[in-house]
Amino acid sequence: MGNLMEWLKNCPPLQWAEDKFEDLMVNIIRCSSVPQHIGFVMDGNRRWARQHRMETAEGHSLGFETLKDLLRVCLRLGVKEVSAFGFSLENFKRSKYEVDMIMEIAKSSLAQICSHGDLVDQYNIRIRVVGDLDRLPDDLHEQFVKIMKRTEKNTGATLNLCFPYTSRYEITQSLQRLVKKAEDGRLTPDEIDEKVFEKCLLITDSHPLDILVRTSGVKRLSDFMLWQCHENTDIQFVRNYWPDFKVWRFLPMILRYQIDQKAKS
Amino acid sequence: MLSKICFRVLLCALHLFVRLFDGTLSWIRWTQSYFLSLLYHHHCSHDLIRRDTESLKKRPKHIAVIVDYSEEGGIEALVDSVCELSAWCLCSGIYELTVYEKNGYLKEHPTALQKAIESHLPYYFGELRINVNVSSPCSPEASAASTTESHSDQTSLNLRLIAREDGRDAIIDLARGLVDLSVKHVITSTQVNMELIDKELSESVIPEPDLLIVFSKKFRLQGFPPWHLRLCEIYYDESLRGVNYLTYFKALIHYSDAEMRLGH
Repeated sequence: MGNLMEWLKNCPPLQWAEDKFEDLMVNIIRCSSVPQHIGFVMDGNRRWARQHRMETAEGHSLGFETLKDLLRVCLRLGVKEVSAFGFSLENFKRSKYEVDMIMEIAKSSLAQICSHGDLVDQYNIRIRVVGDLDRLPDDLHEQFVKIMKRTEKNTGATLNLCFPYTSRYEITQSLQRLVKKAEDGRLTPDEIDEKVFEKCLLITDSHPLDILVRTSGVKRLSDFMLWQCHENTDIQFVRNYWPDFKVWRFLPMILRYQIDQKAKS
Repeated sequence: MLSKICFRVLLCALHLFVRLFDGTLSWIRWTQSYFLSLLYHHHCSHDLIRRDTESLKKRPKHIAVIVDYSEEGGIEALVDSVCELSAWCLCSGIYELTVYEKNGYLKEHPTALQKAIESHLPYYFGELRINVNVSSPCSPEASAASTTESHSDQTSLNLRLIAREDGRDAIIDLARGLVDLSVKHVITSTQVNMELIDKELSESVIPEPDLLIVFSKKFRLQGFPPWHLRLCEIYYDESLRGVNYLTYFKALIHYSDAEMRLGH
């Protein structure tokens, strides 16, 4: 019975109807202001895979597909920046097998969206891979650096892929950079303020975070963008696992953001 | 163009629909919560609260809360809320409480607050004498509180008051301090690591809380110290705003059921 439902959900007429519905919703929502920067904590791939009796790799792959769909919708709506939590520095504690698998999926996924004619070209996206890149395997590190160089002049939108990242690492890096600048004689204590500090962050030159979505029902920030989301960000804790977080669950959040903005002004 | 006008009209209709839907849902949740709050009222009874929380699988050691200042309630309402929260924490066996009020109104009167709490606790504890240490970052009581922490006995509450300046500004101050030390050649950039920053911020602001309960009208963190939000469970109940026992109890239940995977 479960398989029948899956087959029905994926049948072409329904897919076509879904696409047309998405087109309509995007056109309607674009008539008002949209959030400029949205963050996603992509949690729950493994638990989803276990629930659906699939391999963990399947869960992570489908998780990437979900990210791609949401990214596409965000870009169509006119969102200028999307940040996604792909891998935490704490996740290195997982088994070597799983860590290697996630690295492979990241490699192929990023290659896919950067391929000719895909999302990056379509929407002129600048990709930034944010985090402690030295801890990545060499081939992945090289690929990420190449992609960042290739897309750094793009001005359409920005995708911050946090891989591997923690917010405390980011804040520590920023403080280290400031101290290094002082060691080189380029900075005095009086010159330090919020702007100077933010210039040294990994996610720099960035819009304030408007919405942060965390899936899988966990109500924690888990060391993601703490500096960016602790002021006025609309934090949404969603019960579904990440692969189940489809576009139609996401769009009402944008509508609520628009209603909030109207109420403020 | 005609299609643009159509889309605008449809957008307004969608907004209206979402507002009606949300409004109805929140009314239903409010009614549920209202009845639950009657059922779960604490009745100023130490025993009732202790029984409520005894069966929890795990309890936080340090709770932080975000409260809002309102013009109608004023400082008195804030003080009342903090008195109630202190009593509930003590009854639940939690001896570390941090209260974040972004404007800093509570921080301005720590002794008055301490007196108010000490005169409120007898409603719950009767004759039993309980110590309350009220402090805020960089106050003399704060250093006293941090020394008593190492031998904290079970009949005293450490209450810390923080405000906006203990969030980002504390990190910027730390940056200035570190740069100053580096200019004087006391430290190098390689010595600036996560452990050092954690130690400094835990001592100069607050230690990391296990659970953060947001009692404000809207779910916003309002500048709560970012470094300390790393792993703490965050609880917000949209149906009952303001400080109330049901939200407090639900937050404890949520904490007790939460799975801490720490990366795994």
